[in-house]
Parts: sequence; C-alpha cells; structure tokens
Amino acid sequence: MLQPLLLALTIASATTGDTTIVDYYGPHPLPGSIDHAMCWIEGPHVHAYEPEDPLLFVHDDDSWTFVGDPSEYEQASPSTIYYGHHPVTWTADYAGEPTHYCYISGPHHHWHAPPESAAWVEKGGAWWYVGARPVWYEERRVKAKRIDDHYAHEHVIVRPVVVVAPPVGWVGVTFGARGVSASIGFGRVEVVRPAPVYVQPVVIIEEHDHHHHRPPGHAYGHYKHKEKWH
Amino acid sequence: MSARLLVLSFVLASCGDKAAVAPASDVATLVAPITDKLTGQRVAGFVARDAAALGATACAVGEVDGLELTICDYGDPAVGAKAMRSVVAGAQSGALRVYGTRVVALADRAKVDPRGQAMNRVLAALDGR
Repeated sequence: MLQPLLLALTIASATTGDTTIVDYYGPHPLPGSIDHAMCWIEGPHVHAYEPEDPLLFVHDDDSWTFVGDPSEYEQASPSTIYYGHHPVTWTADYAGEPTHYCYISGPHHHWHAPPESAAWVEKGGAWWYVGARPVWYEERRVKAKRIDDHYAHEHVIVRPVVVVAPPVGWVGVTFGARGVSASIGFGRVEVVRPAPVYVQPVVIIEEHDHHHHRPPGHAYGHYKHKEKWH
Repeated sequence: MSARLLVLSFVLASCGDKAAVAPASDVATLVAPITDKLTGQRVAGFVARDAAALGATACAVGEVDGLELTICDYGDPAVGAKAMRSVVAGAQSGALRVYGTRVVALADRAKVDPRGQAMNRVLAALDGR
C-alpha cells in the first residue's frame, strides 16, 4: 500500500525559468486581483503569487502559513472561534511546541481548531488557551502587535460574540463596551492598554455597534448585540 | 467506466501519436494506484510523457476535475519531488505529493479553480483524509 508522504517543499520563492513558485501551507487569502476569498488547499502547495499582506502570515520552512482571521475574506469558510492570544498550531513544523503565537486580542476566528490538549478550554463557544506561554512570548509580542492593530479596526472582521467569563487559568485582554479592559487569570492580572478594569464576578450588559464587511453581493451591515458577563 | 478503464482506453486510442509513448500497460500500471483513489472525481486522458526530461523512470499526464495530473515514478522520490517542481511552475496553483515511489503533481494550468476547492478535494482523496 502506498503511504502518503507530505512534501516539505524547499524553496520559498524560487523561480523556474521566468516563473515564480511560492510555497504555502494550508488555506490563505487570495490576492485581491483573483478574488476576495480564501484558497482552500490544505497542506503544502504552491502558487504563482506572493502573499498580498505578509503581515497576516508567518514564514518558516520556506513556506507561508496564514495566521489571520479567514472571515475577513470568506464568511462561509470553515472557522473556529478563539479568544485572546494563543499558540499557532497549524504550521507545517508544529509538533506540540509552538514556534509562532497568535497575538490577535479578543474574540476572533481561525480556519483550524486547536489540538486536543488540557491547555485548551472550550467555553462559550470559543477556545481559550490556558497553558504556559513560551519564553519568547513577550519579546515577539511587540513586533506582532501589528496584526492586532489590523483587526482592531471594526470594519475588518465581524467579531464573534462571546458572552462568558474567561476560564480559570486564562490570561489576556477582554473586550467590553467601555473599551479594552483587564485580563483576568487565576489571580493574575495583566493590563495591556490603559482601560478600566472590570473585576469578576460581575454582570456587565453592554450594547454596541459594529460596522463590518459583507461578502460580495451584500450591503455593508450595521448591527447591534448585547454582551453579558457573568 | 472505472478510472483504470478510462486510462487504458485513452492510452490505446492515442497510440502512435507520439514517438516516446510508453506501452499502454505501462501507463495503466503507473497511474492506477493513484487514479483508483479518485472515485469521486472525473479522471480522463492519461498518456505517457517524457520521463527522461524529469529524471523519472516513467511518467504520465492526464486530467482530474479540470486539473492537470502528472504521475512519475522515481527510484528516489525525494529527488523526484524536487524535479517535479518544474511541472507546477507557471500554474496558478499546484501541489506535489509523494506516494511510495510515485510523485504526483497537480496543477491548475487553466485557472479553473482559483479558490483551490477542486484541488483540495483531489488531494483529500489521494491523502485519504
């Protein structure tokens, strides 16, 4: 029986003659010149184009892996809701120890679900990473802040609504009506941006507006929702 | 009609067209372990292609769901995987996989699958996922 062996393609932006070959790993946004949508190819593959926004990718093993929110490009794509910062577990070289971190604050989506591990807790429809952070977390966070800034604009993605308090052990930044606020872990508080600190357990009911993208053929939307914190 | 019969009938029909065409049985033997996995896809038109140009012992090219599918046999598939990069060069999308001694190259040369959904379905069938 033939066993599949995934190739580690070795040349990132190699050229064969006059033709560019760019290596990718997993689904990613297409260039706008092709479509405002996602490429659905899982695993290693190649394209004739470079990533349009490298900010939303990581690059290692000479291939590009998308680490952003696919709902910016295609709302019908597979997606899993995450809350806060967490290891990126879908790169080609991931083998249990993260080499990259997602620094998108608050609720967001990724194409892939997290691996089965006690370090991941599913609560309120979202996945929260409660494991230890790698030693390079803080060092890289400053540089990676740009991806958080990208999604900080409300028109970029429709944020999933998560209406539960963080699980025990989680450390991060919560989103609320009065701005970005405290992060509550099990006795650990980390304030990333100046903001009022909400202390649990309290109930905060908030109502705020979002402007967001719609897929092609849909008008730009405007909706309201309530968030309730227990 | 099964993928194997399709391959065989096309190869037989194309005999005499090319000087370097391998015997039909060779092409069928080469591609069958791959195309037999593609039960949900439209597989057509496998013919032999110049293996020496790719450093392979045997090669065939055909079509699956509008994508070009090249299958080559190598003594060292790792070497073959590098050689086969030239097959996907110039295509809007492409993917290489190794199954035993066979290296498979999928290429969207006609730009029929910009979102890669057809290619992903073919790869899923080949990879058994």
